[in-house]
Amino acid sequence: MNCASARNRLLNSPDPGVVPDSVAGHVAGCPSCQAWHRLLVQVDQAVATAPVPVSAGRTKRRLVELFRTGRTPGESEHGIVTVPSTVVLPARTGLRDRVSRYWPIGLVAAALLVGAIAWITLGGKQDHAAVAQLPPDPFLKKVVAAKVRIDTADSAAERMRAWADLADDLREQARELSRMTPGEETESMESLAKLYEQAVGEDALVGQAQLLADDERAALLAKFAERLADAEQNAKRLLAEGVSPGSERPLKRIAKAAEASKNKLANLQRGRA
Amino acid sequence: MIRQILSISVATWAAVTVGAQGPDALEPGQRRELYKKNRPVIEALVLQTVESSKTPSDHLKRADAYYPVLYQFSVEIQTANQAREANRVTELTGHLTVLLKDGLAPTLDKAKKQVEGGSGVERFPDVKKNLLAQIDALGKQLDPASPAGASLEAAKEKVDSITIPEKK
Repeated sequence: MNCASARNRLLNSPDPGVVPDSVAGHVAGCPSCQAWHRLLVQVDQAVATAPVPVSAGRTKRRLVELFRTGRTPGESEHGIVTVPSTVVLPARTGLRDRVSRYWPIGLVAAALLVGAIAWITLGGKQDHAAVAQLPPDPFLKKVVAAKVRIDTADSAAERMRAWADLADDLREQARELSRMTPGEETESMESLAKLYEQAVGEDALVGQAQLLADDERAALLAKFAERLADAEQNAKRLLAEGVSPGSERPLKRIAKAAEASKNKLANLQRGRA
Repeated sequence: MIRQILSISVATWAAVTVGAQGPDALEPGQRRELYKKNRPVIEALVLQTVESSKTPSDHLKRADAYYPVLYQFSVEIQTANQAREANRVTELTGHLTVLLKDGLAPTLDKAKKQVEGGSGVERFPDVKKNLLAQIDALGKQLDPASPAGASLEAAKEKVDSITIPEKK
């Protein structure tokens, strides 16, 4: 027999002062249960000697009524309380109560679940899926527009402006791609460097500059030479900041092409075509 | 109860919106992939424009410089068609239509005026025939009823309307 069993039997005994035979052996050998039994006897005696307050029996009736109907005698069937009740009813914890208490947590969980599903199915696909669903290419659009602009230009000055804009777009694209993962951008960077060299070269930007009239040269060449100087400096700055190994050579080609064309425009400006 | 339903609806809408929205600008990986994919077309566009710039007053030669560009677009559209990349087909056809309507047609019109003046009249029919044949090849890849097909057909008609000058 363990202590809990022994104590339960002592509590059920009509006279706590008398130890039943069935637990006597345990209590005799257990100092803890002996102390507990002594305390039990003292409490029993104290309860027996405690004064009982005078009562008209109303509290007893209320308690009985409460157990029978769930309402205190002063409460009507319509729930209107006419006499304040001193009885505290236990809180009801039905399903509805629990739902009303915890719905914010459920709301957050539902939102997270729906968000995760939406992200996975609509916006969160990686790698192959992202590549397969590539958006329209804004750079291609710019190149198409540049071709149309150059082909339909009516003057050398207009074509020169269009070439300069296209060269800037090519350089900007190279700048963006130079930030890519090393090793993956080399071919693209070399391609862009080649196109940049062509765009600012003898058959494009510089070629159109040579077709300008004298007054146009005076008005335009310094401005375009300045743009080329900026392009050269930007490429050199990128190189100084450090780029991936595959981007170094193409950026140097861009800087060199910009510098060469800038010098050619400067010579044209000075009348040494 | 209404308050709870409303709250759940608002939270769901917000979650779907946030989860589904894409970035405003291209991501670095997308930019790289797009350039890889469009590099042949972009190179053809720039290099043929350079070719065309070498002879700014020879409009027939400049019109002829569109042929490699049309060919490259044809290859890319065919590839996209085979890969069932409908969005890419639409995108490329859109650019091609712009090139034909706003680039080739005016250039061919200038070429027509040029040959009417006596220079290159023999070459004009061949240049135009080759260009139209390439546009036809492109058109066969597209459903004529689709917006892309209809747009290309309209561009072709514009190019075709530039009549061959009679020999003087």
